[in-house]
Amino acid sequence: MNQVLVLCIEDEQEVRDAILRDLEPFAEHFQVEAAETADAAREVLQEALARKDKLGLVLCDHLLPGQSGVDFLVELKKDERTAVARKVLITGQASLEDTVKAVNEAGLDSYIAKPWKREELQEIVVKQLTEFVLGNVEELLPYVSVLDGPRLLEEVGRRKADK
Amino acid sequence: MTPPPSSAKPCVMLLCTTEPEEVRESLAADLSEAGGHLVSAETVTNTEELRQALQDMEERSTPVPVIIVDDPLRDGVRGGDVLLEIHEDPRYRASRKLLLSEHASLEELTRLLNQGALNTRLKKPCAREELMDAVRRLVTDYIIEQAPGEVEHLAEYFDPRELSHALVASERLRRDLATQLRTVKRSFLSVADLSDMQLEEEMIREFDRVLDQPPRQTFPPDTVMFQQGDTVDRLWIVLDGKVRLTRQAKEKEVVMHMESAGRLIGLLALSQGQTAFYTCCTATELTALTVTPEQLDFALQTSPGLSVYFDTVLIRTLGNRVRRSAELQMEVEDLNSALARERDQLAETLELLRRTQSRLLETEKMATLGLLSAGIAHELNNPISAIQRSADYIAEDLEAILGSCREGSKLAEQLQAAHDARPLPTREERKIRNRLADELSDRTLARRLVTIGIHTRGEYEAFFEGVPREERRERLAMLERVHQLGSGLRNIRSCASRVTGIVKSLRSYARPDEEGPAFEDIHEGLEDTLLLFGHTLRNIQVERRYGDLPKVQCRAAQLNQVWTNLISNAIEAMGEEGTLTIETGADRENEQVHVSIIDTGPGIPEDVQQRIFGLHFTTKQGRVQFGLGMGLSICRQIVTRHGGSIELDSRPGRTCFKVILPVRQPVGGETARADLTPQNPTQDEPQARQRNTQHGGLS
Amino acid sequence: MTEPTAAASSGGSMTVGRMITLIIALIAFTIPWLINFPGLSPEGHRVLSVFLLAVVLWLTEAIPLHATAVLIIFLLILFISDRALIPLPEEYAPDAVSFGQYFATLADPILMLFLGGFVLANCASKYHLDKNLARVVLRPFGTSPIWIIFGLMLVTAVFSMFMSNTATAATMMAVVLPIIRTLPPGDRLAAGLALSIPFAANLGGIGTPIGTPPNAIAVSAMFEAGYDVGFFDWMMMMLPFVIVVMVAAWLMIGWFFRSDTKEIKLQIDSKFNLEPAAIIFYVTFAVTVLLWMTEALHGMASTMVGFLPVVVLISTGVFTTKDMQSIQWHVLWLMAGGIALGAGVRHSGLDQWMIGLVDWEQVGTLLLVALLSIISIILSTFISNTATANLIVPLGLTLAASSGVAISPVEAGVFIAVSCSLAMALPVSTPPNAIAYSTGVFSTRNMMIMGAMIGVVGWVIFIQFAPLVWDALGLMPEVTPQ
Repeated sequence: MNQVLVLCIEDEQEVRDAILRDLEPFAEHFQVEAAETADAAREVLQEALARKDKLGLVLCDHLLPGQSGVDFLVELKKDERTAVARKVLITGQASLEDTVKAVNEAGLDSYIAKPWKREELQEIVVKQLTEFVLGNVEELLPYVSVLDGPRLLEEVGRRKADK
Repeated sequence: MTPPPSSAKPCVMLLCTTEPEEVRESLAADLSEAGGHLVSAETVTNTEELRQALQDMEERSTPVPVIIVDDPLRDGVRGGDVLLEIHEDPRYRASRKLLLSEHASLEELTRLLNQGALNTRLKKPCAREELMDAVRRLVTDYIIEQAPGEVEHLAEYFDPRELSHALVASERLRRDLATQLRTVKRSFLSVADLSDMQLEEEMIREFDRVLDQPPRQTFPPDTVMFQQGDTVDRLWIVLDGKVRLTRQAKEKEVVMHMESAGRLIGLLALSQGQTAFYTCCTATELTALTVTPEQLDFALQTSPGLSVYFDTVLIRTLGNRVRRSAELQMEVEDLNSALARERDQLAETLELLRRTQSRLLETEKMATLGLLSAGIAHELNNPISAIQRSADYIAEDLEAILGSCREGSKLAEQLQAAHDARPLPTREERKIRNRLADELSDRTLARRLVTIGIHTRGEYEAFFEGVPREERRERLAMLERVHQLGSGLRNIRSCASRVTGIVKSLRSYARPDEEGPAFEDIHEGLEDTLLLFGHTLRNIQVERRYGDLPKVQCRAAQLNQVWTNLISNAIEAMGEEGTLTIETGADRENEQVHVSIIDTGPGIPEDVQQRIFGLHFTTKQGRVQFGLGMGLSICRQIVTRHGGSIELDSRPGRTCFKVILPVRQPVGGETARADLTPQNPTQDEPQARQRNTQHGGLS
Repeated sequence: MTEPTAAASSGGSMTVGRMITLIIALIAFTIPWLINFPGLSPEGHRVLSVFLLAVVLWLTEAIPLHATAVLIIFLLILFISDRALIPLPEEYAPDAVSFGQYFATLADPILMLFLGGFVLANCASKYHLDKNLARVVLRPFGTSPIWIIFGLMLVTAVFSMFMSNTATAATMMAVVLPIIRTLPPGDRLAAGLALSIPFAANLGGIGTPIGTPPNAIAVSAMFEAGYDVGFFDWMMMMLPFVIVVMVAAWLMIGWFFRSDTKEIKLQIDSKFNLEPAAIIFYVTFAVTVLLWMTEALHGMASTMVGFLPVVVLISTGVFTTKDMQSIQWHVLWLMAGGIALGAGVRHSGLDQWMIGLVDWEQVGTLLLVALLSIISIILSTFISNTATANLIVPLGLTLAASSGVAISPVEAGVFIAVSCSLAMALPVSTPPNAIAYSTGVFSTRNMMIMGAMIGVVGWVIFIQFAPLVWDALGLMPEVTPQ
């Protein structure tokens, strides 16, 4: 209940496997889901929103069958339920134009170029999720061990007092 | 005549300008100063006022020596036109006219000059000094011409050099002009019959006589006697030899006169304030008689006969020169028109080249791409084989290691299972996971179980039967690792084989395959292709109307590209939903097969239908889609190489690409030729038909 | 337990468990209305019903703790104030407490003391004084792990005396976490470092009246009972023993989590904020602490001093309106609820009646003390320390005041407050524990063992040993006539 969803959209199964494995450390604290296309992602999102989960992070390939990754991100930005989600483009093929569009219209937060390194991806995910959690989640403690602990703890210190 | 008081000068010059009042006033003051005690200046601002002013002057019988007009005037009136208009009036013809303009077309200036309606044109902005100098000169001119009697009075005000000429002129005028003229007239008539040579000899003799044998000068060939712009202080009368008169054009020295130079050298210079108009250079060894202006003056005054000879020679020389100029002008005209013709030709050629170049560029792109892909393909083969081998060895070694472990067989089984498992679509996996999560009420566990291929509670319990609870966690972690090894190996292998496939198709695209075409099942290729499209076809109904097909001699990979292209086009055309129909069949003799790929999309507009097979890259979202979506031109090339053809029949709601292929390849046929020569699509079709008929003839 | 569970805090959703809890609370509330307890006044009946409701709600946290607190205040006004909705019987009516007095608990002097603490803590966090001080103070402790743990514990304890234990623990964990991440995986030292922070925070909280809310509740109740325990008095009584227990805890942690790591690299570059506002704050902080410590010299009550930073920092604009909104008002209100409940219990004679149920003269002093403190420890292990204090303090103090009991009300109050702080065996016991646990560096087992050991040592020293010393040195405050 009220989990934070991490959504990975990648049409190639092998690449998806790789991303998912890199996201494994986060699977315990976040609901990590994958989808092949923007349509499938929308389905996952509907289910998650119905469960009152929040979309925290989208890792999205650009070239997908059907709707492009950037367009999907723009769509997410426009939906107020998903507007705050952190958005990362993970792709080898987005043109400058597409990327600029993603930045301007979807509020793209980060860009990961394929092929990526695990540390790089995890670092970006930690950073983005920390940002999201700080801004959108009340209970920070569960995320201390998996995200940027010191930052979260400092915020906890600001928010809390003894009861 | 005593100089009149400055307040009441006898003449007025007029300045018509649009400058603001302060500027006008200061200009008028300057001009008044330039006008000395003879000419004052008044300014007007438009043509109306100018006419009015002229009218006033007329009434007061005040001469107007100089009219200065600014250009442009108000309301777009051109200064030149105003000058022309004034010049039309005989009363003001003598007035010196100065045009002050920023821009002036050569045409306009020519027109004014030809009409004599312009004496000086100054380019704006011009310095005050320049303007005043010009005005002084014009006033001097005017006075010399119109009122020679006043000349002495100008001395203190005007350009002394001009004045000396003026004095000479006035001196000469003072003599008995009438007598002179009569003599001259007579003389002219008497010399008219003489040949140039005789005349010149007469003149030289006369000079010798009057000036008492002036010195002969000898110049070696190619001696520069004076340069354009030099001050020339004497006249040469050529006795023997030739000179070249040249003038510096923008880029080179232009020879103006050679034969037409005549025997009087330094003529123009003397007449133009001693500045040489031409550069003079001896062409041969030259002997000449040197005469200074003073000598000339003296000689002419002393001997009226000489003056007649001299004038005649002068006029003839000038006449020759003018003729030569006219000829030159004509030559230039001819040259210009020839140049214009050449230029047009060049432009045409350039356009042609440009078109050819862009065609070549397309060709070049294709060729480069081909070469590049062949190169890349070659380079990729080594690493990819190493990857494939390593994956194989890792698999072997892992099995060996697992075999020696406790419970190794079960792990090996898991490894194998993971390796062989078909990855589930994410939505199915999610469903299974959610169900299992509900059954076990443990999301994390469910996720991990589904990853390793355990899908139900039953399977879970069976799997961990007999494993003590506390060991399960460890066991599960182990299994996960093994599973990940298995699926990792699978991914390595499948990706490696994908790369191999890409490499192969790159190579087959880039250069002729070594092997000939084989007999293949067309349906297999179609099914493979459809499989590749997978999820893209989710909302699209696929209808297969497969006929009985013989095996077709072809390159399956290349044909797959054709199917891929056609199907992806069809899907794109239909968008979200629609029906994709694939129809196959063979003709009665089993000599030809046809494959139709039909979509229910909106159809292709007629004008696009014409171009659709055109040779071009489709660039989708900024990248060149290689392999896929290379466009129908590639399809056509491939099919043509197979000796077949593509037909398009499109209307809204039904677009059908029909590929017709011969069952057997013609001997030495086109499939063997997969070179890079770009084929102009428009030329492809007749070729293809030809091949078809050829093929028909052969079988 | 001190943190509301995610389910409870996540708002309106009504689960089955919560429904049941609320029904039980309602039943508990109605019992005294239906059953007549002999010897208990009608007013006592009414307070009992509120008390039972509070017990259920604070134990279960069906609604947020501070919601229960305001509910208590409201119910007391409704039922036993001079403006009671259902008037008390004639003979009790003239005696009824003015309703304003219950409202006044929301601004109880002790809350002002706390408010001052909050303002100082918020500013400290705003100007990173805590972090910077931590780094400066840690510097002399070198790179040896055991001394770094000592330094960490010292800094944490000192901070938590004046700031919220939770904020201190969170800040210090943020300092420690990067250090922990540089250790090789599986190094036991990591757990030692992580555990030292919450334990030090909990222990340090005992040191001053504002260290943790139970202290304040106890002080407030003692004041009501006629014992004026000043800031300095409290520190004099507690600090020596805090130091003793802390050293014990340090040795235990150091021994238990000893490892091969001989050196720890500290990233301690501190950069103090030197803008004028920060300097005003530093001065105010120093003056306030100084005044608290020197109450005996100037006679200004610590609660009055507590209001000083509030006034100075707000009027100088150092503490902005926005900062004011970030004050943890719910903590103050939770305490107010406890103070109101205590007042109600006392006024209605409910405490006398409840204590009268047991013949305490039969119970030995040792057992009595043990009972009080152990009940407090057990309760506060699972529920909020403040709520525990709210429930136990009124009863404990009355018990101590009753005849035949050999402990003084001050001792009783101190025992209960200290016991609440000593409960640190589980991650849910205190917020500092929860924060440390969230880093995932140690297991629950680690925390339970260390927490229990420190708890036992602390209990022995504070409950069994300290009173002897206090008595010997005459540190116990005398009753001041009200």
